[in-house]
Amino acid sequence: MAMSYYPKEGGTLWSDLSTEVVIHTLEVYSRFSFDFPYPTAISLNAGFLGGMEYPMITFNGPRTTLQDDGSRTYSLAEKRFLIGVVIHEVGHFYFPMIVNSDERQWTWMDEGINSYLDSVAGREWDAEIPWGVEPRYIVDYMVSQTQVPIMTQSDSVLRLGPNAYSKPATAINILRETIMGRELFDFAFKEYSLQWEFKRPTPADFFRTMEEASGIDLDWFWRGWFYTTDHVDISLNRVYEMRMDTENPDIDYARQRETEKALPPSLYIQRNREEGRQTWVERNTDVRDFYDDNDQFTVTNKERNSYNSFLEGLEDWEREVLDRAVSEDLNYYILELSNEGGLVMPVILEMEYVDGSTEEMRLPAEIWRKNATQVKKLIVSQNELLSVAIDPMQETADADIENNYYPRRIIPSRIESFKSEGGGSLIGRDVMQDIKTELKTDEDDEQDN
Amino acid sequence: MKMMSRTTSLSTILLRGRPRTALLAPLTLLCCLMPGLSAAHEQKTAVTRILFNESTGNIEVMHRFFIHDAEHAAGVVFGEAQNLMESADSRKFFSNYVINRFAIAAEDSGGETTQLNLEYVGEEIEGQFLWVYQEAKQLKDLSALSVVHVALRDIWPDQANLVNVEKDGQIYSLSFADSVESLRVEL
Repeated sequence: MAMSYYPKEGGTLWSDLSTEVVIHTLEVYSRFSFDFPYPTAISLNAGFLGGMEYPMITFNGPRTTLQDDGSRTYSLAEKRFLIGVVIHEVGHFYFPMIVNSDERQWTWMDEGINSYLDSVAGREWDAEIPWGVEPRYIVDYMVSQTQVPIMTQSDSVLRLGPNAYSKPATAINILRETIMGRELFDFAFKEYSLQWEFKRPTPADFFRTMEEASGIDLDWFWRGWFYTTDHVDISLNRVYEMRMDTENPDIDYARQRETEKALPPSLYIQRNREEGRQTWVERNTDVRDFYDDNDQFTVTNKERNSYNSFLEGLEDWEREVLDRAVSEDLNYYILELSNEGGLVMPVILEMEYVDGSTEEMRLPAEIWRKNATQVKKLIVSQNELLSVAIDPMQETADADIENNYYPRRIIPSRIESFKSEGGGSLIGRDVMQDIKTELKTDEDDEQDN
Repeated sequence: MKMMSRTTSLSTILLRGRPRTALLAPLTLLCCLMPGLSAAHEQKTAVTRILFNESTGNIEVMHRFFIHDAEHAAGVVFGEAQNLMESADSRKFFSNYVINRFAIAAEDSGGETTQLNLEYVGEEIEGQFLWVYQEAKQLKDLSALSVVHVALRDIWPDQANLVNVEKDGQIYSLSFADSVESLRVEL
């Protein structure tokens, strides 16, 4: 039975929400792990603290504010806090109260895993609430120079909050959404929960179970996120455009002529023309000769004979491949990527083409297997490429988004954005109280004056 | 990687013209009066980014606090009747609390130190976070910064504040934990 105990100070904040949140949490956590095995789940209002967990009972802090008219109200932020803290503390019924990892040794095994699952439950409670669990929020911590790896014994952890809560929760969220996919991750995580309920798992048990149940080699992921202090920063440094040589001079030479024509005209010649200045050759056409009607791209039979010899030297299958490539006339691009943060991750590309279409391409982290710092990727497309963005949904905690775009984009600073938007936030208003305000009339204004 | 040295002396930097020791005395008393909080959900961590914005010529300071941490701190600082989230005024009070517990002294290559006049820009809520913004004009010939950051740390002994100074593509991190109140970084 889900229950809530609260004094009158809890008001409708507690009567309407607390027990509902307990039930929701049990439903979500049970779906991801196992059926809650105990008869009661209690949320108790303890106004002097944020939240604290015990087996089957949690202490949660938020309360209402008594107004002058005797009513009790709460802000939107207070409501969100209550929902968040009840989910988190009730979540501890599962981790570590049942999947009984040792918090004194490895705090992240309950706080990190529970923070991951409370973010899942939070978003399933109300998707409109900004839960603050997006990967970008861990970036400041991950780029800092004073860190220890998550896999540090708890007594030696620096900055327990981001180390044991936020970073592992972000890592596990990324593991589910970006690395493994929901189907495999959810199966593997449930296996971990079922295998280790009422037992004492260590980090190796979690890592191994997730790999064995999913069949995915995740060693690189545990190494980067849990055993190092590296961060994610993948940079798209250059995009090279290429075109396949057909070896046919009537095609290739004409293309080379087009390429040269596409270059900007000489500024000096353009200004001479604007001044109406004619060249000697224009004024004296008698000096024109063969080379005024033919350039270096003019094709002669010498080149055509050479091309025909080349074709004759091809095997049948080579000829077939060449003919197909020539007829398809695809666009070739080489993307030059570098790993600036040290942590290898999948490369998520969003390509925008000249015709307005977009395409997403997900390159697995194994792309870094042979060189963990520099890699090139060939893109072959029917469409002409306009721009490329790495991680457009900001799902990988990439620290520097300025180098995620090719061509580069202007990214305003946070304070500049704040100023340009007029500053301030409306979210902390106590609308429940403010809505009682009566609209002033002209008469009221006169009386005020 | 340049050298970073830690300074625990309270006399090196003034906060808004007041000696640090004078400011800390009542807060230390307040801290002693608080009951021990054992809150598994409070993270008691904050992050501050210090950026050198070359396009505006400003040093931008962005403090990020967990709202529920800040709310409880505000309750302690301002009394029970105050609640950070209830009004814009309360948020401004909290911002004022923060900027009076944060200071930067800039040092030039000649060793001369100037306390930055950090202007209050505003604050906003984003998800679970409260941001407080400050900025100051950049100084020429900057060689080092000394930073004081005791926001929330004068309330909870286990509050840890991370400061990332981002300059010329480098990040210099200052970790305010335990008894550390002032840290210096060479840029």
